[in-house]
Amino acid sequence: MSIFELVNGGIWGAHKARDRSISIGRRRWSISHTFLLYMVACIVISLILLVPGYLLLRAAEAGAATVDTLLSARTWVTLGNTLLLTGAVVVSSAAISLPLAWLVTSSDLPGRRVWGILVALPLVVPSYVAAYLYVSLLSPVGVVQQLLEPLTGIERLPPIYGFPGAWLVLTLITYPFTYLTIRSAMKRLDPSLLEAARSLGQSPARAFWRITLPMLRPSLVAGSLLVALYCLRDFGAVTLLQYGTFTRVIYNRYQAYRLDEAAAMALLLVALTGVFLFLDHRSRGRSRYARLSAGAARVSSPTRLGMWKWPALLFVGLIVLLALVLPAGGLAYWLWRGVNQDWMVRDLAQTSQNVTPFLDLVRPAWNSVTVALGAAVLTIVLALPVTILAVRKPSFLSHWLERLAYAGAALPGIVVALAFVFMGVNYARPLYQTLPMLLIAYVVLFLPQAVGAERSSLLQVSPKLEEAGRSLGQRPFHVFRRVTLPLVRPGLVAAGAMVFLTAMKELPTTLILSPIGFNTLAVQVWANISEAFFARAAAPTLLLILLSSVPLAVFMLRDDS
Amino acid sequence: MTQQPVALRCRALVKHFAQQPVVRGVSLVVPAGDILVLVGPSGCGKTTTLRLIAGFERLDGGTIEIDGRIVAEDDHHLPPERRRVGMVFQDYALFPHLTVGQNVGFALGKNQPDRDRISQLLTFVGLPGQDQKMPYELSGGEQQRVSLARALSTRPAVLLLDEPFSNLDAALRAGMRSEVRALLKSSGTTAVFVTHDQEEALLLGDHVGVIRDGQLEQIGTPEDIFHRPQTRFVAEFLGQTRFIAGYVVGDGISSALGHLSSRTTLPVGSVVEIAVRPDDVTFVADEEGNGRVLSRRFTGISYLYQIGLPNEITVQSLQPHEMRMEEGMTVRVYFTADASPPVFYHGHSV
Repeated sequence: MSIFELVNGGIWGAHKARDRSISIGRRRWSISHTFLLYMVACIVISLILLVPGYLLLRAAEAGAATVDTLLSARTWVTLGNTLLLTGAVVVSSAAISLPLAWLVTSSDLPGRRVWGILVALPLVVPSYVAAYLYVSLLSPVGVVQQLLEPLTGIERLPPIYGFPGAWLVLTLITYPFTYLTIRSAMKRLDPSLLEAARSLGQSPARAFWRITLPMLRPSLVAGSLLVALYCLRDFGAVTLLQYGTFTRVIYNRYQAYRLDEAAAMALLLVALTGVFLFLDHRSRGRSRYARLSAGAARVSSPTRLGMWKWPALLFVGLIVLLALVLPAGGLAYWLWRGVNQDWMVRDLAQTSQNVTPFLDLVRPAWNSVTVALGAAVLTIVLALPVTILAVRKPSFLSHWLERLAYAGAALPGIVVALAFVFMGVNYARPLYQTLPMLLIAYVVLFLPQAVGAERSSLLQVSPKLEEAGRSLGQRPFHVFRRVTLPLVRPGLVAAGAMVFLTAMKELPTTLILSPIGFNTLAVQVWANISEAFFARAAAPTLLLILLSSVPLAVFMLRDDS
Repeated sequence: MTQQPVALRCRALVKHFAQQPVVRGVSLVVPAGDILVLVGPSGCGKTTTLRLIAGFERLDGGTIEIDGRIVAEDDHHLPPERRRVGMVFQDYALFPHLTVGQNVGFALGKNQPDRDRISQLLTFVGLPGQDQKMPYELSGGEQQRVSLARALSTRPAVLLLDEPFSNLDAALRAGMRSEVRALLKSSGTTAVFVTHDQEEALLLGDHVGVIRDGQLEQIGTPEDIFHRPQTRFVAEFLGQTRFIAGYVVGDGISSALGHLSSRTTLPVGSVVEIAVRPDDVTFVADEEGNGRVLSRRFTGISYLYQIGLPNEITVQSLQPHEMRMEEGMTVRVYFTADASPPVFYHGHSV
């Protein structure tokens, strides 16, 4: 029995490969069509499975040492820290975004459209950039203290390092997740439901409590889970702010060459992320119902705030000040300092060798763009077989391939990087610290995102269109090229752009897996801020934000509206 | 008709979905140039039958022969693109990224004869010079025509149409039906329609096949199907039929509406069902009568009466305007002189 017959024999479900034809030559060709898709998809998915698989192997090999690590007090403290930080950030994000979303959708807050966009923007700031700016501004003897001292005589601000700083920074960059999900749910909310409640004798406040809030709950949960996943995966903020959650501890163990401990803790982190991902998956499945039943195009008249307008403005303004103006001001300040510094250095040294700092950025910027572009193209292409099989050839295997692709989202960047380092050193020495390996790690990291985006654009192409192409005498491949591909192209480009922009900001994977001497903007920023060269970090940071975050913001806000 | 070559022949088609039989032994023959309409309630397997013929689904049993060539049998499955079938989809499935001309020319080349053919086809379906438009700029009926032109572009041996009129509004639908039938006839195209609308089936088809639970209940000319239904289901599905009980007597069948002289081999005393259509029944005012007028509905050309008989049986009767009976009147109901309603014994025609 040949492998082709095996594919057709239905072992992978009732849905046999449809494109089989009579003559032997043709038959082989068209079977291998589906077979080829399965092959590529399996290889891609096995790359993802390799990460937890290898960590498990490693942990099993270490045996007693792994058990010791998992049972050590340090591990439990780390677990406690991680859960505490995640929980705190989830709660504070929800507490900020619920009133924000209500104010910009349902009230007559002056300038609510502009506020609505401004409060969403912090989302696209990389966590290490935000952490760097807050640390440089708010550390006990930072910029803010220096500004305040002549006025108030304060000599030291309370320490920002540890839990308070991590909490503040992560809250300020993740609340937009909850804000955006709640806001879109509020926009979909049928105003006649509230009117019905009012007509049944409920006050506005009680109507909000009994109707609006329960209807927002699915989106609040979905947004909060996104925030939780972000906190679990985040590396930059907790490391800079020196708060011992899993990602930071794993990185420290890795740097100290205590690799068995790093692997054991990475496994624990993956398990934890997996739980939250599973919850997220389930909450999404349910929220789909809510979306189907909602469907009012009618816009309700906004609630009048009256005298409450002023505290509301103060609240929104404070959020924008903290989350947007302060970091932007900080960046501008350091940029100005950096330029001055360089002028001074140049004047002092009287040498032309130290040219403007911006020229030093060309190389890292070029590296960032090319490697992110490579990651985007590779991820989009490699995600395609998984998506096509899942959408067009539903079977037991294709369904599981897709699920595993989504499950890849449970792998934080630091874990993927760690696993690839181990594997590179032990089994693929020639690949270790090469660009191909970095790109493969990016594919593993961004595949869930790409499959999700491709799936939704492929679902919008009716299979009837492909059948119409077939009935007009075109072979499956030609139908794909002439009908399907042109129709999904915008979706693929958008998915690719998302991967490109995310890859550009990605820190831990880039940091650990980049070839020696291969500087990207993210690495450049990190190297400077971890040495506390705040002024020198400013220029690459600005460039990074201009190249990745600004387009990303445009993308997200456009998608949202 | 027997002289015509056969364009499509299906023998004992079988298809399962997840172990559930959907098509169970459908056999049919369509002579070249004729139109067959498959009709049945939703979920009866008619669309699956069509998709089996098109090659979008694989057969689990049976044979499909198009133009004398076996295209599907056992493990042999010719892919759709090599079957010489055309397909018109329910939602038209026009390629949204291509112009009307590019849609129609999808299977054609870029040379001059092929371009001429595109404009011929568009003219043929009544859309001359519209080839630069995008599908979304067209109305539903126009999209329908483009889809027809596209399907005809490959000169298919059989054209398959899956509920092609169900997305059109009622007024447009009536016009498109006769127009499409005329187009198919003038181009000599063999076609298989699928619909759930019995009226449409009777209007469109040279042959009508009634499908129920994956089986062909009856296939024949529209007149055959309507006047000589082989099963109770066919009689009921084709509409406006009420059933009353009858029993076999010496020289025919006796019922509440009178005596029917019909030859039957059933033993005397067998209980049968008589399919009664509105034009089989008439009534007169009679204080001692067997029925009561339940309602009168004005249909434009005539009145449609609902008449209650004993045992909560109702029949319908179509009457000219001259006769006007009020609700609640007691009447005597009986078969018209020329009525020969179909009679069923255990669901089958006797």
